[in-house]
Amino acid sequence: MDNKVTLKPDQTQLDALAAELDQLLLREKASLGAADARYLQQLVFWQRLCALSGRLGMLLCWWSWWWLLPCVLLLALAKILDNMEIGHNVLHGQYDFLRHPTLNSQQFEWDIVCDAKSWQRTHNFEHHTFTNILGQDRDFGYGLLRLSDDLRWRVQNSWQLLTYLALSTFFQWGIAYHELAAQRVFFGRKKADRHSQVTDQQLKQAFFTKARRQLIKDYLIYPLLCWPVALPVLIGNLAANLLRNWWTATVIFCGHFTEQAQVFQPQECADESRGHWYYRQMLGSSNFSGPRWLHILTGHLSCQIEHHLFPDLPAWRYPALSSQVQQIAGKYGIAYNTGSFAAQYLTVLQRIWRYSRP
Amino acid sequence: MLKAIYQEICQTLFRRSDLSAAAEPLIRKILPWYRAGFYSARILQMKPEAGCLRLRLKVFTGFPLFKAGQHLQLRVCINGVEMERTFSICSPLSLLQEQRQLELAIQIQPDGRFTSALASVLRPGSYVHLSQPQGEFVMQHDKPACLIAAGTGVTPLFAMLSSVSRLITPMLFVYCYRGDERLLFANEWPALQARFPLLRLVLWDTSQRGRLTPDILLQQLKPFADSRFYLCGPRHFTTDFSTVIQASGVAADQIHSESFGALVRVADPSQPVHLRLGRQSYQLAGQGSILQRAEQAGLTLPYGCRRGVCMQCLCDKSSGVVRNLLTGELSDPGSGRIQLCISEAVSAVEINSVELKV
Repeated sequence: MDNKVTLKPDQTQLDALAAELDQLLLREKASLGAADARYLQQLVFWQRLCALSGRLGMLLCWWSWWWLLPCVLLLALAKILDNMEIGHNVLHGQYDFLRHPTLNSQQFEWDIVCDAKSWQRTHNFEHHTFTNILGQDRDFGYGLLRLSDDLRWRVQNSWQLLTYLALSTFFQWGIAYHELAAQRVFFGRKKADRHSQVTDQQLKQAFFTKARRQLIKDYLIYPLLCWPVALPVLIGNLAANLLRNWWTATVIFCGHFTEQAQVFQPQECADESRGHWYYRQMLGSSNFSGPRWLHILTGHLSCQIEHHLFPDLPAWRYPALSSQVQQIAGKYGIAYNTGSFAAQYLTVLQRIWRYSRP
Repeated sequence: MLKAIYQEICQTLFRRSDLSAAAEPLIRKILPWYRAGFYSARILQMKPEAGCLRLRLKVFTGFPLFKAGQHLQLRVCINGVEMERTFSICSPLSLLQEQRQLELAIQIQPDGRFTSALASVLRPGSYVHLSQPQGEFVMQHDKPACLIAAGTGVTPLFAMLSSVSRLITPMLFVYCYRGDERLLFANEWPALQARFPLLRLVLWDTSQRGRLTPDILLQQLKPFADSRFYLCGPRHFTTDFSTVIQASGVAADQIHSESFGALVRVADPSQPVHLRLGRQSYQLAGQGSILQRAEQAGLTLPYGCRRGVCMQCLCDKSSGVVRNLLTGELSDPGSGRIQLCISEAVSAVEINSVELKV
């Protein structure tokens, strides 16, 4: 792990950094084409196959409840692929150039209670623009966790490790409620500095519509369709959702809350240049290494740095880019934060624990 | 009502508006040519003729009957990217009814991204996708008719003529072309003339007889009294003819025209932008990105990052060339999705979006 303290580059260096990264992006964009189409098509095929076999397989619980185990794993895998490698990346517009009628950032809807449009506003815009700027990026700690000394300690932070575990368990609801919490739709006083392009009414409607559909699907229609084995199907769906929640929360926490991930003050980012934006994206994110299947299961968020530099580049290209990005980072003396999955996750837990005390 | 219930069920279960879109990835593994929402067609024959590519297609049963003169969208996968362009059907209806075949004559634009790639991408036996036939440019047989075509504008008129089973009213058919190497359907004309005694066919070679002007048409070629006029060709051609014919005392509703033509790319940064949102439509003045111009016009459109990352301002362009302000890349002249925040109009642009809400 790269532990050296980063000296902030001056403006000329930042401009040169921006030029180099822009060039890398242009080169990569020029090679977009059939390979990306093939990858996405394969991916969606396997996702559908997992979902179908998982759901159909649960009927075998008629003979033995042991069948539930592999089927839950298959269904969870389908949901993880749908949310991470397909949903997250398609909603970023990474595959929009393919002009697919449904797999594009405007039409795609994913198998999670969060409404895709709401997620695009909070994640694509807020989180990716203001990454790790205190007070502007609500993804930093989700308004629940204190992960930096710059934030005031409150009593509820002392049990934030438990809060974190609860958040992981109900992670899909956390994301779904994220924008409504920011806009104080149900509770709290409106913040004067928050403006939104959608009304509270629209937010509520989108939230309830999507939540209703997801709940009806997993806990009513599918169990009823498999009537004699309704109970195992219901339990199986619940378990698959739970596994997906734990997995996504774990992966996402490794992206920005590791030991080394830095935070920024709003004033240092006012009127920032493209170079500074790149610089901030690199310091605010952290990677972890692993085999290819791990990258795919994380939706390539294991290459969080590359993802934050080039959010609309097809994600499966990130691992190939990482050595070049690392080289550029080294040239400008910017820390490139990477390590094994386990090591990075350990630092996340340590960080949550450390800042739970004043 | 039933359809609404079906769509709600599909949305709930598959997050798609119909089952075929949800099952497409699985179906395509077995039938690779399948595309939800489009009609598949197999290429039987590709023949270069008069600067055009004549494509003979075999469609599946269920392809809707078209009216001669209508056009459709041809969707071809070029380097992984689905591209589509509009072409008129040039074969008679009987070919579809008897042999389930269609023919298109596609003019090859040497610097066009779509048409110039067709010859290398398509082979006899490969599959393309078609939209359903559409358009109001169809023929009525109640009166004498005068059909005037310029260049490849002959394709819908040729379909109209060859679809006639028995000609009971007189018809004047004028086809202007430049030089014999540009004469489309060269082998078919004599047979058509022999088949219809009431047809007066004028093949007007402009390289020998000079340009056909509206006056020459009215004075020398003498259309039948009380005719309906059908015009097809470049935009200036149809407007010129239609003005003069109207001035000669023909009612406007007797003149039917359809025009096409490659858009001229002008470097002037302030090109007219026409924005249509649902039923409202706006002309955007000013300069800068289309998003900025919309805002100057007092519209509030959804946007996020304003730097081409978050895809919230993505919308459908129906025609016109835009420049990507980040990469300097020019778009296709046809329909496509653009990000308003980083798109500058290079030609007159038409945006037609139901997604964007003011």
